[in-house]
Amino acid sequence: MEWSQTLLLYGVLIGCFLFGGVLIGAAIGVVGIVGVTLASGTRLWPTFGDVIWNTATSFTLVAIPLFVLMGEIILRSGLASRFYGGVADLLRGVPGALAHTNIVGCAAFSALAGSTVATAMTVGTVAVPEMRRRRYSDVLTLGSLTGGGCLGILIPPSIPMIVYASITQTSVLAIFMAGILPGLLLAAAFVLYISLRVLLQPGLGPSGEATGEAPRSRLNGLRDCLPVAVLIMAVISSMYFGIVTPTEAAGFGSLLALLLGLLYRDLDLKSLMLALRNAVTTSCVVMFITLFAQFLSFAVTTSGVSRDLSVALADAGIGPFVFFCLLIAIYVVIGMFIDGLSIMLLTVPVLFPVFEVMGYDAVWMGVVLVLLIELGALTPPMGLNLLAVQSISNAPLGVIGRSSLPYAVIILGFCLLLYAVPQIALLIPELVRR
Amino acid sequence: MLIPERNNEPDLQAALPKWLRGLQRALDIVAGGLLAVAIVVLILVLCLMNIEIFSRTLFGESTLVADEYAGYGFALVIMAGLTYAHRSGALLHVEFGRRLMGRRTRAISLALASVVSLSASGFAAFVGYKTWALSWLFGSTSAFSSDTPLWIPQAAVPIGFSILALSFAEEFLRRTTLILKAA
Repeated sequence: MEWSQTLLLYGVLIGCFLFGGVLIGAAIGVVGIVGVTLASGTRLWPTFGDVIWNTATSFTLVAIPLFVLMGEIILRSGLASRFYGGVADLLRGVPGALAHTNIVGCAAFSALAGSTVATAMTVGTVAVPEMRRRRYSDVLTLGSLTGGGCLGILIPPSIPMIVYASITQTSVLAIFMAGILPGLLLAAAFVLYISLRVLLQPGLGPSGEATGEAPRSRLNGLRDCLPVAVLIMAVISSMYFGIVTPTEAAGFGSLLALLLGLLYRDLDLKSLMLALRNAVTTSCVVMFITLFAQFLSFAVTTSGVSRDLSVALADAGIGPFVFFCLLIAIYVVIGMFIDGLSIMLLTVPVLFPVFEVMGYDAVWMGVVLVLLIELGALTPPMGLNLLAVQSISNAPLGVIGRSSLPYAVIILGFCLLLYAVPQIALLIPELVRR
Repeated sequence: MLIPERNNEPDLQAALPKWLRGLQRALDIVAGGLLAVAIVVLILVLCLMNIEIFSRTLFGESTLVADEYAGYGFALVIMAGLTYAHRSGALLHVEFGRRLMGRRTRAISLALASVVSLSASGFAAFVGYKTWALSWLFGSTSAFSSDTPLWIPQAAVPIGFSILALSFAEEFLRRTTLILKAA
């Protein structure tokens, strides 16, 4: 079978399965089994067992439940809302202060949660009622939450980054470090946009921050920010200085989060059990897709689709920039229907050899793909961040979509900037290597 | 608390035969029990990671087994938690197509979708068993210094996927029964 026919068959089968409501992991897995069987009969079936075993015991992927647990403990122990209140105190008086707080809160929480939805939901649960009470426009509130939530998978730790590193055999540490500067710059771009928007349309926020309550001192704000700041610094610096591996950092971070939760007396047994249950469930959700995505990856390798696709694109004279633009278009369209991690697991096995042919750096590409799936999280009808924020705000999806559009445009522009200046992503990994 | 929280639609539940409701309940209990196992193993992995960090940093000694056993623990966490994740409706699907379908088409489509999931997990259980059987037959041990017999941790894969497949089979039977009752 020609590579193009094989690729078409994979695409059609996956499309039909997903449209019919089949679980994403199962759809990918069955297509992988069909692909391998078409390419080499049942001869390679026993290898699937090794594929499952090697993926399920991957030390890199062990970081997933531990990082999720760390984020869950921070969320359930109330340290997240304490941090949000602290940042709000520190930014008091700045026009659109709570919208900025959302971005800063999301950036900080994303350094603990590793997931866009968890980030948007955590900050949103505290922010939406508070901002409505203070008469902020929903446009400002909802947009800053969906946009800020996107920082969740860019600033390490990040579940998609761990999965990407695992399937492309790239260093998790390098990709984590590569995400820091783009994450901070993107957060700064969001803050800049909010400042300009509030300056041009002062009606979007309250005229003052008067709430009828006695304002708390900035010292109180600093004190409330301290536990989360310590945790972030401990996790990131221990990785940066090579004291621990990313997986060990996840375990260390979880222990530290647990101790902080107990120290502040915000964590009870019920919350801890809920955090553990959610850590297991979230990991299973991720791994159900990841395990079966390895089937598809095996099929792609066996059938030689990615190799032939690379050759065809090279023969067609498609340059790296045109391919980059094509990639953005593909991710935006697929992102309208499928969650980011699934897109990554569907496309990377096919496209990774093409990235190499195009001369893209594997670490840089990891950051770009995370940015692109963030974009998908903001595109209706199935943008996960939009749905997450809708569930906590009860606002119409159209309003949330329109509020999020400027942030999507900023992310798109940032992708192009990253293409033009790859050092934005590669600077810190190079410093770590030295 | 560990029983999956699912929207069982009580009026539809009553339409199911007694044996199917029994199977549903039994699988819910098994899923809850396995989740408890997964939580305990996750705590053990967490402890192992920190023992490794502190023993290496403070005493300059490595446990030498942390990477290996954390991997086995992770596999066990996933295999034990998958059925719970399925029965609590956490596993991801694309909602777009479902929204466009009529009630009956959607019901049929979801029944067929559970067959696809059953096939995938059944196949994974089969190949997982094959790998386990080979390790058992040849007495394979891990490549680490612990020389752990691989059949011990590998048993989690066929068992975990078999129970998950059973859960998908129950879903298929439940959906098919409801479609036939409605017809």
